[in-house]
Amino acid sequence: MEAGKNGKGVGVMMRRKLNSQSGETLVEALASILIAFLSVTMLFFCVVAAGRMDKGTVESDKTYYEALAAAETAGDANKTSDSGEVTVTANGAPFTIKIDFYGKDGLYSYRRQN
Amino acid sequence: MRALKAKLNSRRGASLLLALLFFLIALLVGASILMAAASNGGKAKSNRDEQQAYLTLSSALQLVVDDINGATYSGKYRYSDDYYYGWYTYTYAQQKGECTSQFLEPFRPAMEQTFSKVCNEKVSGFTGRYSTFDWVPLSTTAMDLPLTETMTLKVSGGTGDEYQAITAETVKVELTMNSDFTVSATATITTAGSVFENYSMVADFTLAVDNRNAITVDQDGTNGTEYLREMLKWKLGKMVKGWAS
Repeated sequence: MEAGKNGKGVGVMMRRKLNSQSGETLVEALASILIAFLSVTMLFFCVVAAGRMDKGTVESDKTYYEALAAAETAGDANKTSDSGEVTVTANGAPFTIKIDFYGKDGLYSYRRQN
Repeated sequence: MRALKAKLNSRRGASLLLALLFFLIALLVGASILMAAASNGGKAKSNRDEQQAYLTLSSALQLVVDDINGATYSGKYRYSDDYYYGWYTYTYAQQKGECTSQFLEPFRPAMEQTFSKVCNEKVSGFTGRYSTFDWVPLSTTAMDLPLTETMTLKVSGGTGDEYQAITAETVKVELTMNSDFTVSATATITTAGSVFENYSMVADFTLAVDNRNAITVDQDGTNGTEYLREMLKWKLGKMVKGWAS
């Protein structure tokens, strides 16, 4: 084994260094600061992401209520360009009724065509 | 023992422990905030599905209401007279009546039956010298009230996926005509797993016009002429909405 500065082996020096407790407080403090920083960063991103999600929900709530009002009012202004029919099946002969759709954005009601 | 006491009193590594505790708290708070936001978004989607099911159900019942509210049933008969070797024969032959509601059409035989009964009583009271007065009823199957007819309503049409929800649901309408000719319509969603599976809407119709005791059959008429007599007219009474118990 190669001799060290004081004539001791590198292996022995390494073992001593590893077993030494000097400077441990500094490492510990640095690790604590790192963990605290990571915690704050994570919390910040969580809050930002939740805020974005909330904003999206508020937007979708707005379109939802607008669509709902359009579907429930069923006035000429809310009539869609699409039409359809309702098939009524009974014991007797089935019959169909022509309908108009009212509403928007996936929320629709219907009424008999005038 | 001394070593344990020393360990307990030791402050070494305390800052690391505190940092880990802080991390844990931050993790919990962050997760809670995210979960609350995500749950809000999910709730909005579920609200939309529920509202569409409600709109489908109410639209179906509104279709029935629009059809029956103001609808009328009018009975019809054809007058003819004949003279043969000094004997007059007056015939009042019942014809198919007119029901302006498509949904009430299955109950028409019961209404024809009542119209025929009332008219027959009137014609039986006619008198004249060397004359016979005959009421000829329409040949229909006898129908006794109350009677319930079940109908299913299915929507088709619209372009694109936007109409998928409204066309996916099937609405069942149970129409009951009571013995006094009042009508009750109960609409429910039959699609299994629908949020409104046990929700029902009921519309009751009363009689706006009931001419059963006031139908007139003229003894004299124009040979070969058909006469229409309005017997019943319905109007919306009340609508009830709620979950089936």
